[in-house]
Amino acid sequence: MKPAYRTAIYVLLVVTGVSLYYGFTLGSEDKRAFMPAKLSYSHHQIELACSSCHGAAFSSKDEVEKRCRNCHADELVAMEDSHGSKKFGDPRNAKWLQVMDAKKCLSCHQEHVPERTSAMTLSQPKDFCIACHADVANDRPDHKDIDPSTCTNAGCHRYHDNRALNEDFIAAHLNQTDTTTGTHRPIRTKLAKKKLVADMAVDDKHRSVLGEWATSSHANGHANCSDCHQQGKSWSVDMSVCKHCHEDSFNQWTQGHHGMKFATLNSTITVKDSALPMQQSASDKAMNCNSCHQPHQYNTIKAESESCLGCHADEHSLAWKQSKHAELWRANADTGASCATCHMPHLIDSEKQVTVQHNISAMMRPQEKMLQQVCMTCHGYEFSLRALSSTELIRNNFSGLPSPTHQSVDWVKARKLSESKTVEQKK
Amino acid sequence: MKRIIFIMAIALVGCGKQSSEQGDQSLQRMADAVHKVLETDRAVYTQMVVNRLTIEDKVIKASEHWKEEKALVLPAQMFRASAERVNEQSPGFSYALISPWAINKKNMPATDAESKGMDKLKADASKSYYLDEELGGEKYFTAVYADIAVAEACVSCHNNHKDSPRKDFKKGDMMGAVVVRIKR
Repeated sequence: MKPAYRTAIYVLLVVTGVSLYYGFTLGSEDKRAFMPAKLSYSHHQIELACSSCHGAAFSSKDEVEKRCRNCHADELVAMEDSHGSKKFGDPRNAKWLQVMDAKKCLSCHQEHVPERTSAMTLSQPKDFCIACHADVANDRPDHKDIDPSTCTNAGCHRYHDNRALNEDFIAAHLNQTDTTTGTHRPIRTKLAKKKLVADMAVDDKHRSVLGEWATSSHANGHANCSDCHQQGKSWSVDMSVCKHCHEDSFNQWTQGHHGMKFATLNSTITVKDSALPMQQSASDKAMNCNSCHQPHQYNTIKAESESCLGCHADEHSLAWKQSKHAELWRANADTGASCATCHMPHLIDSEKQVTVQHNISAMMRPQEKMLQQVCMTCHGYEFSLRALSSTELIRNNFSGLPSPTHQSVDWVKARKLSESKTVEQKK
Repeated sequence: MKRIIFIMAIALVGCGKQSSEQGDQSLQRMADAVHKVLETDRAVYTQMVVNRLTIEDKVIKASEHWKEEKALVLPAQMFRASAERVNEQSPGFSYALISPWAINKKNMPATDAESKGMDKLKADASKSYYLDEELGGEKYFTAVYADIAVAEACVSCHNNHKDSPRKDFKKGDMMGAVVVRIKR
């Protein structure tokens, strides 16, 4: 055979093989072969669900934007987003959009570019604030020599959530004690109804389960055996059964990293799927309601720390047991701090009921999200700000004291002093 | 023949101009209508809610930190919150409250049209001014109206605020301007 024919056959075989591979992949559920690069930590769980971000194939960036908002719009409203369309939809701010289109999520949060993506899927350089705020020293001379890469990582400003990071808020919370006394988090009220008598027969093998149920909240008039199990069928319970009564908690769970894969792909994440350091021994554990809650004991104390540490093995998690937070929590669950105290805080809903935040991602990033909503529940503002400014303290689960001062607070104190002197002089 | 073409061209230019003028009249009417609603709502909130409850009945205070202090939203904040919600919906028009004596510097006149409109209002606050401007590659019909202190609450708040650059306002003074922009 002539070399030219042989080459042509090789090329044909390769092209056919590649075409078959991609053609088959295109028709299958797993389309990762088409992924240009890995997704960030924020979205890696749903890499099999291209359409959850892209919609139909080859959709426009506007379609992707819409899908960003499907999941994140409520959170941005709740945090009173400092930037975004409410500000940059105003034509008088149009000139800033030529620097960076602040109305678009994708201007700062691009996916599939791991080489330039940092925490929170930020794909802008760390000093990006300066692009619009280069003249900050005109109004704030003390900002003249500030390194712009520290605007958002030194506890001074955030791009979206500045509710607790503005001069007035700081001024209103100066001179608070480092730690407040008494009960810190809102106490959950357990509504006890008439004690139930088990309505299903159990064999000797399950006798202990019945005993556990009898002392649980479920037995206090809330859920009998037949509410979750069906006689003569498998004893295993689907999460939809839990959801039937705990819908709000379930829906919150699906919004965070524990449940987002289930919400998107209808399959639960396993420990080995996680991008975080996890316990090797827990690799095959799947994330569902029972991962944290024992089905019959319903032991919330266990759910607050032991369940977390059964899977999580990062430095912050592993350091908790030796921390002051843990020591205080072991003495009193409502005055100390378990994993859940901080990361699944108690909330008071519109009907004044105390509930538990089950969106695990809502309070997972200390510097970005937890200052006001979590730390200030037990600590003064300044102490909280100083602690959260230390990456080392976050890593070792706050084993140690924060630095004695914080630049933002010092500046606000100085301005207050200057203002009061001016008032005195006018008198 | 040349004469016919010339007459037709003049007629077309005339029609175009007339059409443009009619378009501007329509935009002006729309801007005036938006402003009338804003002005009235603002006066009603300021007089019937803020002034009555904070100064006359003294049952609650109004504060820029309304959320933390469980106080009434200031009239200017109410205006801006509503403007921000409109911005999020991109309906083809927007409105803003500006002032050369703004407590927050970002609310000072920021475009040429805002500065020109503000200067004209300083000379005669009884009129409204209409200008064309281009911002971010988009053309706008921009209307500027005087914003008058309609209640004692407006005056006392600005005169007593630590960051206010002017502290001698009296009821009835022009404190700034309302700018309504309609996308062409």
